[in-house]
Amino acid sequence: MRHQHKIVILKYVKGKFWLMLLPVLRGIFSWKYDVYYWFRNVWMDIIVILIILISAILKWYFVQFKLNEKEIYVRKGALFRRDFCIPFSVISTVCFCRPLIFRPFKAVKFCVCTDSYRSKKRKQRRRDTLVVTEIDYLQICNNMGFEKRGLATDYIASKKELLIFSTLFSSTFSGLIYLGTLIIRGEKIVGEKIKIKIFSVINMTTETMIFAKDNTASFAVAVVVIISVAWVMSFAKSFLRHMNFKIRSFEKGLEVENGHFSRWKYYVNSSKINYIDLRQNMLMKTAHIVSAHISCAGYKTVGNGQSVFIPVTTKKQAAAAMKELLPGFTQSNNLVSAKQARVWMPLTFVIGVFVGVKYLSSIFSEWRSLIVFLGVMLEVMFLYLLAVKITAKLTTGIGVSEETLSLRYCKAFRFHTVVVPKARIAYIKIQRTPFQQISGSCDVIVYTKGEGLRGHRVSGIDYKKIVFLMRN
Amino acid sequence: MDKYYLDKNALAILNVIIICISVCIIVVIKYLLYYKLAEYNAVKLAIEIVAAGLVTIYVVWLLIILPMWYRSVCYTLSKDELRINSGVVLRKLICVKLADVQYIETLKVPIFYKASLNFLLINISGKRVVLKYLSNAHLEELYNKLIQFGKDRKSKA
Repeated sequence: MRHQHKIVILKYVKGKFWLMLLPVLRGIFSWKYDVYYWFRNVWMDIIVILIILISAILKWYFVQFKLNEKEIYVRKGALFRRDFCIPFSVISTVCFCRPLIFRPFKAVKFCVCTDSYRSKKRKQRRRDTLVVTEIDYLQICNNMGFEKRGLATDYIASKKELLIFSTLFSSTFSGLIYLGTLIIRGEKIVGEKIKIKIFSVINMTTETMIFAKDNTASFAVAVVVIISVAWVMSFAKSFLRHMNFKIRSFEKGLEVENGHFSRWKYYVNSSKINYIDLRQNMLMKTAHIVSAHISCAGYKTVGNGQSVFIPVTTKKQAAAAMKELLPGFTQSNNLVSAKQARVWMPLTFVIGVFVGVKYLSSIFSEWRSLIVFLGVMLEVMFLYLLAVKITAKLTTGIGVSEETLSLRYCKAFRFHTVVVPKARIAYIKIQRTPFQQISGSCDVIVYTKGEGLRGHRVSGIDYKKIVFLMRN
Repeated sequence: MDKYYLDKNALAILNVIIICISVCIIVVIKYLLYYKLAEYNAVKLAIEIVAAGLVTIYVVWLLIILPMWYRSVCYTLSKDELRINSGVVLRKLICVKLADVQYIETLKVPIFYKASLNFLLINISGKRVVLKYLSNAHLEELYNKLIQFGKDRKSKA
């Protein structure tokens, strides 16, 4: 049985250890190296520090693992002892991470995931991660049989593709422009009304904003700058996380590498991939580019990354890459298409907002300009949603091939093309509202296996055709 | 088909733990009543009523419900599946196909070796099923049988 890398002791001591240690050490300098007086004042702190250190060392000591050709065996804990043995045949993803801090010490973080892995359970993520030496890492790779084919198929993402991907998929991008306009314009209207009440807050903000001269705009500028900084941070994190992105296909699955400061490497078992999801928004649809993601237990949910397969590329290149890297996942054209577009909800909101603005501005005439402004912002959003739903009608549908099912649907503002192997389908549900019963359509929800059941809802499908397809 | 029941040693330990917790709660309530809230008669009355209710619930649970639940739990292992029966008022039945088992964990408390605080955690796709309070012998037996089933399935495949 082996132990983890000793560097993990520093991880176990956590932040409180350093918060206590540094002032204690600093005390020696303040007491001018008079050890006796220093010790008289800090003996309690030293005892606590020693307890934290000893408990970290004991925690390291009582975590052991063993590797052989077919399985990995792990034993953890002293008071509550946990033993488990994972055979290599059930592994879906193996994740290795080399953070910047660990690299000088040649330590590698290692996590094994199976179909029972649940990414939302943070305790499980922390529990099942080990820190091993480079030698153990090489032995794990050797024992698990991660070999390359004679002519390995590679896909390497260019920096341009990664920049576009990070720009499109950073969490505050789409809201940033919208919110910025809303806040700056809205504050100019509202500020006259409630300026007295929030003046003290604005004062505090303006003191830090050297370029905000106008009081009424300063608060809005501060918020916009904060949001901008948040977006830039999200963008930088995403870009650095997916930098040097490379996929290599080999006999048993895929090897995915990425990361600049922290280097991540995943080995994904192809037979455990639940589905591939090609994602687009309206902008990407007009530019004919897609972003491909895969669903596999443990892939990229470990490390809080996205489950990216191909960051951003054209549709043709994505199809070609999928054919080379994952030949079992073949897309097929729609056999059954959507009968009607789901425009009622966005249309209702468009009309509702228009009527609401008219009504409210007649009642609250003092707040008219604010109401009209908010109404316009909401109207823009719902008109965009309406355009998305109308576009979705043209593409929504279900295609069937020998081994896979292709689902094309729209969820919120995003278009999805999901390719699911038939073996990974848990069950299919057909749902009809009274209106759909009249119009002869239905919603088809396909549940796939994975970390819990995941449902893909394809709306407005012709009911008779889908029933005929499923029976045959 | 093999049947396994919860071990009685663990029930004794659970009773001891519950009694200790109850005593601590009662002491804290008494301290609050007679030292901190001595002036407020209405609050004292409310706390005494709550404390009496808690004690009643504890006694009923300790003497009646817990032993009944303990006796109701049964694990049945057959060729292809594992069945878990439990529940006093609402009976629950869980059937686990052994072919869907990914891997197995054991959780023990070495200090209380004789107390049978042993758990077998069976990881299946997207979920974990826990077999609680097994005796040491039953834990080993179940563990070995499940591992053997996994090896036989692999060799057939």
